[in-house]
Amino acid sequence: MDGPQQRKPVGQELIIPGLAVAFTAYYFWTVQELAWEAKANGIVIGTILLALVVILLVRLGWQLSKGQASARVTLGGDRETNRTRILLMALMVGFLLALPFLGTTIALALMLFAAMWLLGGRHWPTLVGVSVVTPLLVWFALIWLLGTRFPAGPFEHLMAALLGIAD
Amino acid sequence: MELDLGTLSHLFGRSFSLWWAIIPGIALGLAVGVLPGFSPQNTLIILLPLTLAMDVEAALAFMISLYCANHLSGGIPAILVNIPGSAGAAATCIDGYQMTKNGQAQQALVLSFVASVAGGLITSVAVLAVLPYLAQVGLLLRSVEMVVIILFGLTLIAVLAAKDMLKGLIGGAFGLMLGAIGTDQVYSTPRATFGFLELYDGLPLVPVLIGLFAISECLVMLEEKFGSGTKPTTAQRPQWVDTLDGLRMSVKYWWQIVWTAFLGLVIGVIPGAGAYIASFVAYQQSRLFSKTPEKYGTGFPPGVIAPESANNGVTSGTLVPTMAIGIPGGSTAAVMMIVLQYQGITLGPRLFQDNPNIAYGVFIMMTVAYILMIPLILPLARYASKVVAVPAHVIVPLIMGLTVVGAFADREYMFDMGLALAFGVIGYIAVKTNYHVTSILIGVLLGPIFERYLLRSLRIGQGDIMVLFSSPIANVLWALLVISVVLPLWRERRLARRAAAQT
Repeated sequence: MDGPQQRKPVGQELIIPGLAVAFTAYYFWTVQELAWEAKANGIVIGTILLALVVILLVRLGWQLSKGQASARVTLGGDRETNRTRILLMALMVGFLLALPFLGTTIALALMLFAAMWLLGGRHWPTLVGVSVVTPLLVWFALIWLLGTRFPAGPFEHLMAALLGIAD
Repeated sequence: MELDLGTLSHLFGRSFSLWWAIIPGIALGLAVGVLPGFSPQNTLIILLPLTLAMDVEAALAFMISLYCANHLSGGIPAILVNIPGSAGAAATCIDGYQMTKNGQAQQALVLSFVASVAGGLITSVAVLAVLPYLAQVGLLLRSVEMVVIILFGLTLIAVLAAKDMLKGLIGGAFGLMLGAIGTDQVYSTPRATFGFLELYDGLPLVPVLIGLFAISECLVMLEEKFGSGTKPTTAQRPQWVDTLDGLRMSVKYWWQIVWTAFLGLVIGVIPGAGAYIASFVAYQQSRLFSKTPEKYGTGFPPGVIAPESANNGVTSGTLVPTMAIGIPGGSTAAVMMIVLQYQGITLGPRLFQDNPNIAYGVFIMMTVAYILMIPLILPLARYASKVVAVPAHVIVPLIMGLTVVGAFADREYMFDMGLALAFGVIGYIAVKTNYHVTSILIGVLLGPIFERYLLRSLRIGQGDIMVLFSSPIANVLWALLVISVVLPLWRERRLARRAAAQT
């Protein structure tokens, strides 16, 4: 039998089924009082889903019992990349939180600059070029031309005042 | 609308009048196809705010041109730097890069372009010829059959595209469950909305698409570090004589182009079996039927022609199930379906009656896109040698920033941007654990449609689930569904037993 380090980790394979089962349980809970028309679809699909997850559990259980797999959870990737990935997602959350205050153009510019820096970009012309030109293009195409009502901030207000367009 | 000559010429005229959308689509598709990391679906996702705001026919013409051109130009980096620009060009590397090493880069590019354009053109015309018959299929399909077709489509995607069939099926079922979020269709009572008013209309497709594809791919890209800047090839000075030599080779192997294009078309029609599978099957079949199989892998022209012609044959094939039965043949077709749904066009059996301009127009636009590509590609072969991979530290923030902004543009809810990030995490976990994201997306996409057909069927059967087994066509489809699940399992067991016996 392989040692615990050599055995294939399979714990991570249960994350998506775990989410699916938890969601199905929540779905069943929200429809329990409803008429059959409102819950028929969820029950048919949910039952199929639960049956598939049971088959997966049997398969994983068999692999674990045979010593071919371990219950360890890993998504692969080295510690440094995982740290960068988490920081990048945190940066994206920060971008969403800053949007109502800074407006789309400035928040996007800061996000792009910070994300490129975080991922190791140190070439100043690229950093400045991409983080200035891209938000300006977004402002021009989506806000000015298409009129999408993105969160407005100082830049959008200024441009609206300068160009005499509705803010 | 009957597809007679008058209608055809009218639709061709309309498609040519959309040149202003087709040419930028081609240019953009050619440009992004050269950049590894920019898949056609990611490009279409980034451009969603634009396509959602366009007139439906123009949006469709733009998306189709971009899609076809992207399939064509994916072969350029495959030939020049041995990095496929798209998954469908992976098989092109084998002989294409060898031709570059043999000093025949320009000939390989011309072969790839001619095979791509000819393959796409032949198959889109062939699909046009059989479309009137496909339109008749719509009249045979009722709600019971549609329930089985949706399950069958998801099963095929799980069997063919997912690395693990069981996980593919779980992904599809999870997607269908997520697609059931929102108020029900009869009493409008909310189900599984987590208390968010923004989910009462159901799970919005654009943020889900952005999360599952674009954001998850960015999170995966961080590991690949491909973008340290691939050195452009400077093999030799481009010369027109090499371009002409490539054209001569293309004419010499014309039959290869034709039959591998049809192979791609057939594979493309099967939901889940995309350009990647088609190009490798075509390469393998071309080698199998060749009189000189030993030349494959050494820079042999048919080794470039077969995958390129097949992966462009797939472009028309993949749109057949999308248009005819409303099951997207792949992820790019799913993006197009989302844009069309947003514009109020329901794909599926009724499309040929309700919106013949779209149903037939799609393939005519594709034909026109390939025709307009011809004058652009030969000069491209001469100057395509400047292939530069965009560094990951630039491409990842750009895709993430632009797609999250795009998530807002659909409904103008900040909530949707957060939802895109949440689905990005789900998509990333799904990719890393081999739960096929396309299965999940197509499940979400088809969830409300599945519910509608299921409810109709159950009403016809007065609540009896056995109504799903009451039609001969549905029963045949059930049998095919069971076979499609059991056959791969049986084959796998047989191969495992044979391998065990040999060791």
